[in-house]
Amino acid sequence: MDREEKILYENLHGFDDKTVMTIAVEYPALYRAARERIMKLCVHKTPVSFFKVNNTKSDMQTVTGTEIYHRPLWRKYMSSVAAILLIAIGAGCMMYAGRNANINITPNNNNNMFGAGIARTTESTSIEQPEKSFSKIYLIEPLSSSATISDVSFMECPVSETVAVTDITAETVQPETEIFTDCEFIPEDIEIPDNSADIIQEYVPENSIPDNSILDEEIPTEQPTTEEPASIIGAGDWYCLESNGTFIKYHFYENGVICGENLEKDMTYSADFNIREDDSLTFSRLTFNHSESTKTEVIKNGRICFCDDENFVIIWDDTQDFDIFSRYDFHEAFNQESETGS
Amino acid sequence: MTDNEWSAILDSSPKEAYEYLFKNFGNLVYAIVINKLGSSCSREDIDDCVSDVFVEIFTNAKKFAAETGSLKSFVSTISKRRAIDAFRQLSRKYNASDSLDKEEDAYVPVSEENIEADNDKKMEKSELWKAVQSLGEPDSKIIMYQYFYGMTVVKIAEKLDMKRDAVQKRSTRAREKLRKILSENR
Repeated sequence: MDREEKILYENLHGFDDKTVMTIAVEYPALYRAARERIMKLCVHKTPVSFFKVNNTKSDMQTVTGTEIYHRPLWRKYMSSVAAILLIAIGAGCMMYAGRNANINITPNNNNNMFGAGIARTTESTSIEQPEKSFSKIYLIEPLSSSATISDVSFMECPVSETVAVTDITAETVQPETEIFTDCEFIPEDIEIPDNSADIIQEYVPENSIPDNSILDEEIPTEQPTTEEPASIIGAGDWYCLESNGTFIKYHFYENGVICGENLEKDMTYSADFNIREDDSLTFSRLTFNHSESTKTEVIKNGRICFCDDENFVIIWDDTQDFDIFSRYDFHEAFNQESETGS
Repeated sequence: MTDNEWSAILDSSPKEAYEYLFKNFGNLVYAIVINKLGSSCSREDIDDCVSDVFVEIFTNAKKFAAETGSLKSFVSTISKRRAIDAFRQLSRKYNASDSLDKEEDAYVPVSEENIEADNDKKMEKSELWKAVQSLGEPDSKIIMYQYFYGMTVVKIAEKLDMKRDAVQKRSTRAREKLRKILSENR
């Protein structure tokens, strides 16, 4: 407080009575809180007897020790709104945490790398077996990679592009497609009967063809007969020519066909064709030559299925000289056979 | 309500009598007590003194006779005496020395010098009072509430429905005006 204020404080007091009465009228200073405070003091100090009317307790003395607390109305509403907001936020957070916890807690027990519940061992082996030895079924790399005949000696079952070569037993395999169900081993040496070509039925299992193939378009859509595939087709190998020039080897077993491997592109063959009623050809002798080697394999009995009226797919047991890059017309096949011959 | 009526309701309705007393004479009692104690005592002491005044008025209400004087003078007298008593008690308590000791009700040795000093003091107070009144509203109110009643700027702003900064600025300007007025008068 500076000097000037101090002088004001001192000199603005000690007025005469008349001035004080004027001040009390012109400058009333008792505000509500001060008035109530002083009133409460007055009632507290006043003897109780002075409030009794006809020896009964007056209402001024009924309640003591209470303090009138005047809080602005807006503060009451703000505090209520804040409390409600806090409760709502807390409940929302708890619900959100509970929902996320349920999602995170659910375990993912699917260890199948193929995504179809296929269980397999972790052992990875590569086994070379003779071409006609099918003691086990192995998964191979995707069909996009080519394999030589010498490398391929057993059935391969492409499941997906992420397939790796692992050792799988029949009990553990749960194929994605129906062609992989109930895979069984086949005898090592399969003798194909002479009359195995009596009935040739095209059997192209669903989902057995790689995604990048157009074999669906090449293979006739004729339905197989009601006879068991093995009795119709006979045990043995079926080779189908694709439009990209690769051969796909199919094996027929009692319960279906398992897709085979791709053979090398420049295999050639020749055959003695016999046209059947279903437009398939049988041949008694189909020679298949590998262009990059002198190896010649002879299929004694083969089966060919027509893709359509003109083109056909070579199916053979042995190999013959043939240009595998092209689809062959029936006549071309005969012409080529006469040219190449074995 | 007349003074006689108030005397009549003292027995029938003490609460109503009390409220009437407080409502009509609360500011007067407060001003009288502040006039005596304002410059040297705390707010609690002042409230305590005011409450004592009303208690004494109420307890001595039966001594009041409308024929001898007005209720207002009755209240004023009790307020003034009670304020002086409180000041003396508080002075002894706080060992405060104040110029109010030389007030008219206090015992002061009579001498020419004291009389002149008192008169000069009174003249100064009177001039100051007039100067404050000449400020006009709301400056005069701000000065009185701030330096007579000792209210804070916040309370003054609330009472006058003004902003705190505005009250502060007006108070500063009012003091400057007072300084000019008083210097001109001298």
